[in-house]
Amino acid sequence: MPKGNIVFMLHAHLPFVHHPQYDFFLEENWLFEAITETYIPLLRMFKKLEEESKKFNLTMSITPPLMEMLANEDLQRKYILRMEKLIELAEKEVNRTQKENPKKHKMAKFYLEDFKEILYIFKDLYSGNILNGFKEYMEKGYLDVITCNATHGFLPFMEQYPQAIRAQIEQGVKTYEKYMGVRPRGIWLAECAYFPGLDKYLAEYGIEFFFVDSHGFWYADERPRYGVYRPVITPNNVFVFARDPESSEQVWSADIGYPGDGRYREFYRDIGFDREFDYIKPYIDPSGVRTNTGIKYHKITGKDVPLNEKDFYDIDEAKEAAKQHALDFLRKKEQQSENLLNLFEGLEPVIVAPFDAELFGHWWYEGPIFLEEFMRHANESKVIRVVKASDIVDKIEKVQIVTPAASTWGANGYNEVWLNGTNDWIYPHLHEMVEKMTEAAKKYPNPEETPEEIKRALNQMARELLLAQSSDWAFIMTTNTSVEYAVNRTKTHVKRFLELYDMVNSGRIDMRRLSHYEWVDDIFTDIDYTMYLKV
Amino acid sequence: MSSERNYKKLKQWLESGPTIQELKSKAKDLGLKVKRMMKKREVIKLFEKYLKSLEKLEEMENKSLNSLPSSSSKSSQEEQKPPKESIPEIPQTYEKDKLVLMPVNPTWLHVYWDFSQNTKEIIKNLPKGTRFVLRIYDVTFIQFNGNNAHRTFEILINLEHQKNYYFNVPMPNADYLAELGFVTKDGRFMPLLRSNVCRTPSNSPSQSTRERWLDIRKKRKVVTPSDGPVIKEVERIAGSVFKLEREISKSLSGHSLDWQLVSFFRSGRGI
Repeated sequence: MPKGNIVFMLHAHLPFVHHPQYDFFLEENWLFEAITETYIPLLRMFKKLEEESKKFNLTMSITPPLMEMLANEDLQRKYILRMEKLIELAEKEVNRTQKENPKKHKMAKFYLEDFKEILYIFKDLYSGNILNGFKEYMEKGYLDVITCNATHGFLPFMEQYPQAIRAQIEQGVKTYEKYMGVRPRGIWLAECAYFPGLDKYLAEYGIEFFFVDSHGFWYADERPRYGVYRPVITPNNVFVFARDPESSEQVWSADIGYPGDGRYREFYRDIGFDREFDYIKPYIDPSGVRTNTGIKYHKITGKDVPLNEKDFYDIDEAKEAAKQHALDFLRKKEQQSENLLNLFEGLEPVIVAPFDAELFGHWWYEGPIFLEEFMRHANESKVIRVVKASDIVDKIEKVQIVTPAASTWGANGYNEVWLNGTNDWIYPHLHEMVEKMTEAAKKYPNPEETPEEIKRALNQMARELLLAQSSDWAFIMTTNTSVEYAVNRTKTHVKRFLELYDMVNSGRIDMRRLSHYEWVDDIFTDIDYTMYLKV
Repeated sequence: MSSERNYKKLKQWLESGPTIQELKSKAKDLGLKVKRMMKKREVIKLFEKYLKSLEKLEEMENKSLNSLPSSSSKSSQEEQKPPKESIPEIPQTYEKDKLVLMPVNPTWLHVYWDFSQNTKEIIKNLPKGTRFVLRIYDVTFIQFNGNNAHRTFEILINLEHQKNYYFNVPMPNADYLAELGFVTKDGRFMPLLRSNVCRTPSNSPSQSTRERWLDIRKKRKVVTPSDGPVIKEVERIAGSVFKLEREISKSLSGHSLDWQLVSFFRSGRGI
């Protein structure tokens, strides 16, 4: 019996944030929160389903900067310290809430156990490197880990520099291989940003498939007969999947999406902000800036309920809600599949639902439970099956040849999130850096013959360039949160790059400075500046 | 070049006892108001004033640098850092001739420019009141030769205050090319810089009436006439970028939040 195929695509990404010169750095929390609330809960879900012998399938991009951070021993050490503090806080909370409220007390006990388990998984099960967990489930066939371009650079704005695009892809492939042990078959393009012609570069690196947003198919050079519900292949022989607009909306819509349910945990009531300063001080940022701790006692209650009037959260009630929503989503996917199967006269539709991974767990606390319940019950479905993107690629016999249209998954579907009055100033620098990088690399085309100091400086230049290119900085400037950090990071990488460029040009390498930059911007130890010769 | 380095260099040079001619020519380079009648002592005074202002600037920069990592606490490793990294001050110009077009969305393009010393000279020597214009050519499927564009558009540019510009173009899925130049006394357009060709993204379904298919097992391509898609898409209508800020403040409602924004800006066209 033909069935509808569901491809869940989780995009796990954080910009590279590592400040080895500080014991605490606010923005490093992005990673730590995501580990606790998303990455480890996902691994926990894999294990549970596996133990129940429930088949599940996920496609997941783990971006190169995220891989580099997860594998970074200094960050691992900091994470363990942070979790130990958090467990200490949770113990205090267990005592304290005893007198406060039984619902709070129940949650405090839950958090204590949960944090202990998470730390156990992190430290003992995976010896600090949870990448091994994802690798394990990939090798077992449940998971399709794919790569992303090196630092999540926005590729359409590199169109005039093929070497910059190649470097982004090459380093993305290389980093994946380093940690996953095999070459990546698929790629998630940063911001789902595609422009006609990009597929040529992907083909050069043996990438078999990528994803675009729905309108990438709708406005393609020739209309895909089955709309977004079958992959196509580009003239350069790369498969393309398109996002199903319905799935995204069902889950994420601000009005009708699941995460807004009153029973779910309220993101904005965290004891990092609610407890008195003297008590909470050791557990927030040492500078005294209040931060989220991850201990939250309130539920959304209702959309229009003010923050100070939220009811207490109950984990069991929330789990029940997640299960209901998972079943509802499953029914919707079944219905959608039936409709499509009718329309397609039995040809199997492929419904692709891509999401930011961090939204499951971090933003929507119960998201991983929702996913788990969905996978569990999809096992019994007679109408749908959950598959990996690569399963489709392996099975497909006939495919339409189409060049998708330029598109992104940003607001309004094009480039304005990454190019507007708040961030346009970065591009003259990013472009100039590519030109200078190329020019410097051309002077030393043979790395074997390049003096060691020069080679190190050139490699560090490439790191600074790649780090500056992260689309996250432009994104943050647009969203108007943590702008100072994003501006500072951009300028810092530009400045370090230009200093190194001057050193290479003059032949006088300031080794102290170079070593310092290698230490503070310690991404991609295996980088090879000669990628920029591939013009 | 950081101001710090400029400052030191200039101070050293001044102490090395340059001649009056050298002083005057350097002052001109720096844009100081040096007059022909000025004596050496007066020119030196000018430099000293200039150096003071540089010093102040540096002080300010260092202050803001020190306030930057406010979010972090210093660690014992701090001492390993080389003595102060001045705040990331980055160049305003790379002194290269550049005119770069970038697509924003199907009907908006962004352009930025930079000039070489040479071009700066040319511009400086043009008569006062010369009008600078940006020309945008629709060159879809054309090898542009300067006067064969489908359509040509013109915008007046103020080179003193602008380094980039956004402009509205009529056609999605079209190739555009820009030239930045000036208008001569007799009304001719003289280009100074020419840009890359930039294609606007498409925003409507293709008119093509064929389908190409690949039979993967047989490795055979088949071209067939298209009956149109089996399933009709429900398209989204893009809102305006200018509303972004209002949307942000609406969704923010006073909290430090990032994830809701992620969902708004990233996971969701119009969600």
